[in-house]
Amino acid sequence: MTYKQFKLIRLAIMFFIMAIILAAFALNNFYLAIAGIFIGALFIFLVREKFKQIVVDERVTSVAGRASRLTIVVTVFVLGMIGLFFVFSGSQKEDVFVEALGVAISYILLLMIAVYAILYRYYNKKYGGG
Amino acid sequence: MGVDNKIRLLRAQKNLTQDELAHRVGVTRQTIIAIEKGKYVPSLELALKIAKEFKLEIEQIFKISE
Repeated sequence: MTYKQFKLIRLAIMFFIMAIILAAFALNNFYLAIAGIFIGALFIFLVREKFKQIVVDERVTSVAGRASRLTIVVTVFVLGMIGLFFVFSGSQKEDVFVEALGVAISYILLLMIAVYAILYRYYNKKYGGG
Repeated sequence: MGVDNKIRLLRAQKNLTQDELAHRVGVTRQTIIAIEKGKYVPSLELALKIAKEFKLEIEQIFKISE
């Protein structure tokens, strides 16, 4: 199996998972979505085992690290703005639902920042940081 | 300021494909391509592995470009 074939198969599996999740939403079936995710993950694992070549190396890790960092920055900014907008517009219009949605988004954001901070501290310590 | 390298030249001298070198030093072919093009600077560990593969000193393969 070549690397190109491996990437194509991985893409096909991802489409399969997406299709299953969409079908699960349409059918309102939670278990189908969970089963689709697990089966997809299992297929990806099996294809990786069969491929037997290095798929992740230091360059891939470095690229993923940079992409993750930027994702955090963008997500925190966008969700922060949306959360604040919902909280303030909800309280001004006395719409409890919108305000609650804003608060929920803000808490999710705080959780994300907390997880990032904890993991950052852990890896910083692991790799010799103060 | 970047890092220049002679990997492409050394590989040609040894009749080694990018895939073979990648396999020997434990990375993907894309990483070897990126290093050869100067788009990615390898870690010290990988640079040492590459130097060992060509039986040369690290400075004979990599040098800082102005």
